[in-house]
Amino acid sequence: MTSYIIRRLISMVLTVFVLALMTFLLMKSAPGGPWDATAADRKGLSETQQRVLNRQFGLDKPEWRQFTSYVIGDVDSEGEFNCGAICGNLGPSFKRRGQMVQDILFAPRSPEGDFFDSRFSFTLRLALAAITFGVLLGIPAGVISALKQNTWIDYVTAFITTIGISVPGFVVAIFLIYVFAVSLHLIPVVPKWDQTASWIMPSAVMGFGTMASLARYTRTQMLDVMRQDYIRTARAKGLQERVVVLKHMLRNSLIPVVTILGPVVAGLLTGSFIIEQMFSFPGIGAEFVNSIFNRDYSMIMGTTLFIGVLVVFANFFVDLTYGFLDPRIRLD
Amino acid sequence: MIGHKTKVLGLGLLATSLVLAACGTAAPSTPVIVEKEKIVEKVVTSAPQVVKETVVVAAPTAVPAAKAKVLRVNLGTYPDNLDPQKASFVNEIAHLKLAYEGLTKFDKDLQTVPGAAEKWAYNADGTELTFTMRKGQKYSDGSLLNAKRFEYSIIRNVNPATGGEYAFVTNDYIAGANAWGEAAAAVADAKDDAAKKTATEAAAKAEATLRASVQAQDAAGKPCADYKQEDCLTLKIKLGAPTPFFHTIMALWVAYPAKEENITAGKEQWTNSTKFQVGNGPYTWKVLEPQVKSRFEANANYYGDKAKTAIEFAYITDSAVSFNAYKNNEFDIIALAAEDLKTVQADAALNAQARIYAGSCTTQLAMNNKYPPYDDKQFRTAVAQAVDRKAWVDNILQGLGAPTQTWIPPGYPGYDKAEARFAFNVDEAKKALAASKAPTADKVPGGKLKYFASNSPRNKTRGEFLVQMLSKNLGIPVEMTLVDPTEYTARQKKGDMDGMFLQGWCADFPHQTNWLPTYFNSKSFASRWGYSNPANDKLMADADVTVDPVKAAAMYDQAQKTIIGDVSSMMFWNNVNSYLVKPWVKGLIQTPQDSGFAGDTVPTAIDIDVAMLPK
Repeated sequence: MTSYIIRRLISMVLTVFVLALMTFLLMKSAPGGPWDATAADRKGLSETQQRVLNRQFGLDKPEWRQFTSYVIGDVDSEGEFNCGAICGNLGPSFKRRGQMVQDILFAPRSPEGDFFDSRFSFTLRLALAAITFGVLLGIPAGVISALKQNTWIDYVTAFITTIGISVPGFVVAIFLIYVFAVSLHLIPVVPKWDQTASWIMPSAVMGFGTMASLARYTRTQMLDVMRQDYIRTARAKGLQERVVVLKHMLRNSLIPVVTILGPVVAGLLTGSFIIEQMFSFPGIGAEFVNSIFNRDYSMIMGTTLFIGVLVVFANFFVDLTYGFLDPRIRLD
Repeated sequence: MIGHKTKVLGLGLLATSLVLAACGTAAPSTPVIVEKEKIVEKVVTSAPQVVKETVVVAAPTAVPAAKAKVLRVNLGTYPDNLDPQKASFVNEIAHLKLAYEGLTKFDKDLQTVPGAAEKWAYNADGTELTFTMRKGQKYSDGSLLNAKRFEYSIIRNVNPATGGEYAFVTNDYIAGANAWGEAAAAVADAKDDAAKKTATEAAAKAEATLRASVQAQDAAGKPCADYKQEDCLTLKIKLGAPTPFFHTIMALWVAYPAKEENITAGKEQWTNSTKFQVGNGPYTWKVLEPQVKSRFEANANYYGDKAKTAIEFAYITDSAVSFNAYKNNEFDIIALAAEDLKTVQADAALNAQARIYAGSCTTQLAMNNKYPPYDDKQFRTAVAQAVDRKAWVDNILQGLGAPTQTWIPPGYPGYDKAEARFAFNVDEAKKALAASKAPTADKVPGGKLKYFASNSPRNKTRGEFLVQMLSKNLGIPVEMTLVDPTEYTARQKKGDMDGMFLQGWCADFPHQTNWLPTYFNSKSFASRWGYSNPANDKLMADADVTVDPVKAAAMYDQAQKTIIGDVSSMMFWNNVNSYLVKPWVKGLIQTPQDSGFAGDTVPTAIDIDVAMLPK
């Protein structure tokens, strides 16, 4: 197990490095630069300002050195070594003229704030709520749907999960806002993030897709497992139906479910641009998307690396979980 | 199948996750009972004895009070930058102009009137501007506001290291400003230590020259010592050439006097804190929750008319969500989006709340004069006469716009109402086309005209309409190319888009210079589509330095007529400001310069009729 973990950690480092390199090359090959991000009808920075800022942000260096400076670090004009992304330094945002990327993503949004005030904290809390929503509704829905196959319960579940998978989040969001805020006046349209009610809709919209996917996977796996000989054996042994379902069917159905849960969790933790736009939510998803349009190189690299690290770790933990779910799987 | 305990556990987890999600900065909104410890000393006959009594005291309860006057505005996108010397977008400026005020400001007629300065005067040749500030002005925190503060902010705007996108509005006029930028860039370009040392010395000299051009002075005419000097009320600005409109530029956000010590203390985060965003404007910035909410309340230390209402901004970018919130009475003012216009017009109550009035922008169809067939004026004339501007406004803009044939929009100095030389006329367009070098498709390079647009669903729809109209009216196929937005800007700056594209401009300040030389000088925006008219460049430059405003206006008029007559582009439409405003919002003064929300040029005039608020 230990050697497996070490091998995986090494491969994870390599994966993230390759990801960084690919991102850097693609980012640099895209036309335009950070000083072109001004709208076309604005004058933007003068040529002399651009030269000064290029120097300030290291854009005057050769590209290979820009990459190594970002990832590993570089010596500044006063001879001091500034460690790069490997030390958690994700570089200065070009768009915000110097505010550090890690501060934008993880530090409080105002100097007086605490961790709960940071963008990542908001995204993390929304992701936890969405995952809870998705798991608590999705897995039971899949189980019940499989046990009640070809009944109205199964059809209703199939209908809802199909909507969850196929209807875009912004449509669901508008629908929920119209029903619960505008028509029923149960919650406000304009969110107040210190009130639980404001978190319900974005959590539901974020978790709806996850819930639908989990329900479909769980149902399919349950139907497969239900027909296995060992289930018949369990019933023949006279076990209670609850034990058969929870211990023998569900546990054996969960491996594919856990497989998709890893990337889903990583995805939720990186925020959602659409949800943030719809609900005026101060998460990190918008930073990621906007950084691409702004050619904010450090922010693109920083957010991509963050997502990359989350995904490789999520997959790593999923692989570890297999062994617990099915003792036949040996990671060594 | 699933036990009751499991259900309860699941529901409990869901509820807990939502409650935990909301935790962090929760503020109790309901009355609470607090226990307060009271020390009571009792005198007794035997020995002094201290007894602790616990007294239950009710905290102030939410008694029905008069409804607070709060103007709730959806501003849309949250700003990237709330630093006065780095801001450039309307939503950034919408915040700043509530909390800060320049040396001058604009009134309801867009005239430049005294702001923090009570008066100003130019020397005889218009190369030196002296502002005299009001005595005893204070920031919202009660600290002194003197001329030294403005010296700092103007120099900070000029400083090339600041990197503000609106540095040009000061740098193009203040003596030595651009030279400092050049010198600083030379330091950045220096390849070796010797060159760097020489360049650094030159940059230091250039900086000193600039600092001498912007100087705060005391009553004795000596440079001010610090920000605490009460008689530091004079600000002298040396201009590189006569600039009789520079006092108007000093109304812009770039000169807002953000406090140096706050910028230093707050570092890169200073803009995101009301502790550091301390201004001299009519409002005090009370709440700043990035991406969620801002709240401004009347600044008790403001010298002028006190604000009648608090103002709250929210940042919902989706127009459908914003419209629903407005209908839910959660906003008092929102932008009216084109997609909601029909719904609004179909509802009498909502329609009465719509405020649609002239805006500050003009959009033109630029044709790259460097590339054939657009290098031929006859051909460009044909294009200009082949576009039905009204059909565009009616069908594409859903009526939220106004066709125009001139450049400066209505409501601004220099607007030419009579301009009608290139009106829509298909017959005339065909005549002009026949007389051009490319009367038929086979004479056009590639057999097609080219239209470029920044890639978005909206621009695609717009482009398809335009392409179809031009193809039909000119009889030449038109090809549309959608370009990544950032690449689109980069290519425009390079001037290498060999076709037609839309190009707009909005007023930064109400003066012809902001529309004509700033935009149509051969080295400015005009270079993006290869337009150059050196004689007109000179005329505009001469107008800029003409001290007599009547003469200058006549020169600007002539320059604008030449620009339209050269048909380097086709003047297309003016934007309109379109908002929904609740009926209880009173006193709102509409100006074309409103940008963040309706009435934001003179926000202190806005009031709320509390009696009309819904229960």
